[in-house]
Amino acid sequence: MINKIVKAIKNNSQVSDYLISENIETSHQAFFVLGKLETTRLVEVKEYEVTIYVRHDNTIGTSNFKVSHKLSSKELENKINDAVKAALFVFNKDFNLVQGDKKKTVKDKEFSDSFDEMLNKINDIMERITKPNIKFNAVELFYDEKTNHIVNSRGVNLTKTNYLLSIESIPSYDGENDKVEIYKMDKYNSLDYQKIEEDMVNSLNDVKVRYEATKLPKAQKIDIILKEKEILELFYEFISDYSYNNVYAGGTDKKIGDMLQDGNAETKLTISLSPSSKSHFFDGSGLLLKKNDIVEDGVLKNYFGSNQYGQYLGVEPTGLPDELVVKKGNKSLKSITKGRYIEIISLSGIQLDAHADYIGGEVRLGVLHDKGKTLPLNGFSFSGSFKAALNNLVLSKDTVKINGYQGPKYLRIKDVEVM
Amino acid sequence: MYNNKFSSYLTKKKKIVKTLVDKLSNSFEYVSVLGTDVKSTRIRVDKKVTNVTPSSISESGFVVKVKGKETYFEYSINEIDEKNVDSIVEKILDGANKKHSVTPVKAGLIEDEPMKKNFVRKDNGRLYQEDEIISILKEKVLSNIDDVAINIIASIECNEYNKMFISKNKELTQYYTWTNSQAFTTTRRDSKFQNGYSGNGYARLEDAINDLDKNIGYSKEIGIMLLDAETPVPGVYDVITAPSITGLIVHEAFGHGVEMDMYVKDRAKSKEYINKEVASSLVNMHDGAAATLSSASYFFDDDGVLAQDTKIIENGILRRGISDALSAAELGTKPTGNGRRESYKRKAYTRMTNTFFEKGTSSLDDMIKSIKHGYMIFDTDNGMEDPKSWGIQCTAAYGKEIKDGEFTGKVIAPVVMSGYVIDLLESITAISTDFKVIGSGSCGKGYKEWVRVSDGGACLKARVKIG
Repeated sequence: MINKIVKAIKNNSQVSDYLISENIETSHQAFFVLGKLETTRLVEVKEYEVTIYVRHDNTIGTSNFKVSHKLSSKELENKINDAVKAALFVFNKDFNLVQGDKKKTVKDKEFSDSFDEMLNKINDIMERITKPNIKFNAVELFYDEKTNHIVNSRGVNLTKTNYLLSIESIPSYDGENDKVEIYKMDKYNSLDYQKIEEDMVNSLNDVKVRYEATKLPKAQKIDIILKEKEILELFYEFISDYSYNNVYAGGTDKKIGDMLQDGNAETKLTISLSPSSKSHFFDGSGLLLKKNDIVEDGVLKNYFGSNQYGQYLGVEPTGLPDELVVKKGNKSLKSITKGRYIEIISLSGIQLDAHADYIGGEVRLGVLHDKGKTLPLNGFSFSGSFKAALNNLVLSKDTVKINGYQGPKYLRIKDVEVM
Repeated sequence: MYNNKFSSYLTKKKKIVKTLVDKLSNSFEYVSVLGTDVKSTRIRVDKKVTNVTPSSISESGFVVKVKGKETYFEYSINEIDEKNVDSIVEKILDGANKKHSVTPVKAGLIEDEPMKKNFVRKDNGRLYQEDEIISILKEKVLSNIDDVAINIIASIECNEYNKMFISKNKELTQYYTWTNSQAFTTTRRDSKFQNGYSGNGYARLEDAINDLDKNIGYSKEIGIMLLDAETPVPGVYDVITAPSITGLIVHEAFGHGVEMDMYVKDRAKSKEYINKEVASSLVNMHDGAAATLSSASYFFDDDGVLAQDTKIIENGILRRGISDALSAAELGTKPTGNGRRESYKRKAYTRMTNTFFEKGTSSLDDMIKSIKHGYMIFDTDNGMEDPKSWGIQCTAAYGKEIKDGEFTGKVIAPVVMSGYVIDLLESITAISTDFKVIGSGSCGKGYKEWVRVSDGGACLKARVKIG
């Protein structure tokens, strides 16, 4: 199909450049309800996204369209003509497409088991670790094989294939007086049943703790400890101001070399974006990705972003690698969990508004640690100054790698308001 | 921007899809095929760059659903033709008849009542072309940029939905359009930055174009106002919710909990509250693609069930939930036309459509005058459901302080509301006669499965934990 599209594009003399992205997806899916299998699904699709570039009036116009099924030569010609027409209405500053070097293909390692084997083995785990009153009320398995092949008119010809197992589960606890649940989404780039079992056991333990949780005794100021998923959300939001398109639009006044934390900040942050595996080696424009340090020791070291906006800013385009890497801290688990604090176990999501200097969230489950005693808590919220949090946070020496994040397992923020 | 007629591609495929349904009907009790051809074009303009792109809901493909020996099986593909129809049948026979070591759910048969209908809702206004929209957006954006409003992103998204549902007994097609208009203003004073947002949905593109000044102006006004906003002092306050926030509460805090696939999974507390009081007697709540005209106003859902208007809460009493076809088959109830898929590649779940509280009888002015110290809260930012424990997590863009019945001029942002759903709904003491349903947003289930929804209603006076 790519050859057919290229041939059709070449027949249109107004097209200056093109980019074609072929996406092949096979997804096996299974849906469990109360421990039983309700639905299985298979997805087998191949789709194309075509971007047409037309240089005109000393500017560049772009337009793109999707191809989801076979088209006749005439239908394809019409789509390209429509795209050219639309691109002629767009007057953007000119930029160059990514220049290709040589054809490259990288494929991640396929999981060793078939989906049916995974389904049966994960079901075995669930049967083994659940009890009539501590169980998974719903589980959804998705095993995705995704291949992305991009070619452009400047020699880019790159292909990557990734595999991902996602497990959405709803661990639930039926008590005498009430029933409670928490929400879990775990993603695995490789097949490790021991890790899957460990995560499932932990989530069942967490939901039991939620059942035992009580209301927060009183509003107060206290330290909180966040874990990897929230750390990822927090720091991703933090660096988003430094993307090329935000900088180009004037959305930040921070320059390279500016301090993002106070000089006396307790932990000087170092945050990078990096490809998570060998196969995540290019972005949607064909840029080859490498590690990019955004923040180093609390100082803005680099912006990041696309080929187009990088050229607009006159800097090297970096693309957008898929993994956020945070340098580990210097606190041992013992030291970071010293004194009185609330460990946040389940949060509906971090609410961060750096412009309004706000950080907060609704906590579905937390555990108050005080003088060696623990008290599970639910139904409360925390809030505080984001600027203060940036300056007083500490990071653990213990690290963790999850889908999209590599870095400290724990982050402690001092003196937030809980109520 | 719109063809104003049903997809010629799906029309061409009707015969082969019917052949596929016939072939599969020899082996399965239930067979259906949903074909989609959704064209969504987003024209986005800011002060320097213009983009014309297909938005994420653009798709074209098919999902085949059968009831196998043990479980339901679905196969999503983007090609059906004479050449591959037999291999599709083989694939489905293989997938649907597979034996697993897992006990299957004993689900009933999905209803498949005979029906043959074609639905069309055209955009009957002026159908602007891409070049016209680009130049109008550019003019509006550039004329509003100044020293404080340093950038404005304005977009028009034209959505053209074509769906075809064919089962043993049903043959349905639908065509409708919906236009979204969004504006996002970045403001700056010295080293302080803020953002203002405005989003609205329209049945006619012409109305979206006509409202651009209003929408861009509003996002700019909010962006400027938020430069002086303060962070709220945590506490429990009397509040008035603007229709957008009423919608956020009705949708996130309560609506997800009455999606009946949650009943099947024993995930919803509301299951124990049918015919019980869950809200102030002033509250009446609806959901349905046919409940009002907004972004989720389709004619039939992705299960081929006709759109309905479901009254969920009547005078504070929870009467019923909403459901997709499979959940209804499992529960032995009637589906309510709420079976929706993120795309043909994903499963259908019970999803909200247009969800709102009915208007009341109080005047908004009187409601504001009745507040000793509190806030009027505006504009949805985000929210998250908690159907089993009825926790609330809803974030509004800003709130305006009210003291002794008057706005003081103080603005707080962001406004994060939390607490227990029933406490909030029972605390409602007045509902205004104002009424607005806002249809430009998307909703996920958990953290995935995004579909377009609308929500809203009247202004509520309630008591809420902020902070």
